Amino acid sequence: MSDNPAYQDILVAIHADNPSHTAWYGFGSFFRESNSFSDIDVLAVCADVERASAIRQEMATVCNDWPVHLLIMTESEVEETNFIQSQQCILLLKPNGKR
Amino acid sequence: MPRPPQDTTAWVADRIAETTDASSTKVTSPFTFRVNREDRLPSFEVLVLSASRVTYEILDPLLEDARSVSFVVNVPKNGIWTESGIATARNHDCAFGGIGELMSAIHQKLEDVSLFIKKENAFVERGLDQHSNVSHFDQEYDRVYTVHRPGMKSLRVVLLNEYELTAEHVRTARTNYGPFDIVLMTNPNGTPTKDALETAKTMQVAILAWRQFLGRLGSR
Repeated sequence: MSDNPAYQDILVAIHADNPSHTAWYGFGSFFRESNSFSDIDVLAVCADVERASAIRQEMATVCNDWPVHLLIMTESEVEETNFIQSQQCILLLKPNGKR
Repeated sequence: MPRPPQDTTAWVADRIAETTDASSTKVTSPFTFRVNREDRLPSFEVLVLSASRVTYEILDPLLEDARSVSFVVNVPKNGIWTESGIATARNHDCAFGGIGELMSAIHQKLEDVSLFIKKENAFVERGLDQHSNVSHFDQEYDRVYTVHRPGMKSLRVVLLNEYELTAEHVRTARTNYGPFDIVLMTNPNGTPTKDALETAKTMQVAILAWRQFLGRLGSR
């Protein structure tokens, strides 16, 4: 996984997003090290829907170069759906930029 | 700087080669590769592009240079197929979709891969065809249909296949496709979040599951 060029580009893109208040996670078959993945599932968690729109724009290049399934949720949506636990999301980057 | 097309094509070809049903792949040009299949199924050519919006202007020159292509893959997961892009693929006798759809087409072991249609669209179109309150429908984008109903207002419908349908999905659909009446949740296990419902409400858009949608087609 770590030597996959798509994954490397995603990491560069989400680090470039700093210093935002966004938390970044990976989930789905790519992060379960499955060979049969067709896309790379990435979750961004932000404070509100306005910030969500900005994240979509900031990630446009990497999402155009690779099959990135970018799911953007507000903190309240993550809490409501229990998404991080139910999908066994893997933390890629904390909101303050610390791993 | 955009990724060189030959790198993207090679990456997709590698992904496909790793799926169980494709015996091997071979890159044949910066934009194309060949899939050699097992079980005496004929090999076929794939065109790879990375476009946020697939249009006639983008696709036609590539297909004119690659006449033997049977499947067009657009790499971005959120890439949009416009009406002209869809028509161009069909005029060149090509199936189209993302990497997941190409994998599905291989998995289905179709003799002629160009006949592949995405399951989500086939299901919705069959339902519309068979509905007594639908006279006809137009596909404006891969995920947008205008449904015409005799004596009633036409409805503009966006298909979203998300498991968790968020407010951002609804807003992005509005940005990408303009105003619409209905979000049709095509994922049978899909659920809208409270924020998604609230966002849709402010846009005067209904978020409907399949059965709710069929009922809505019969009401004014």
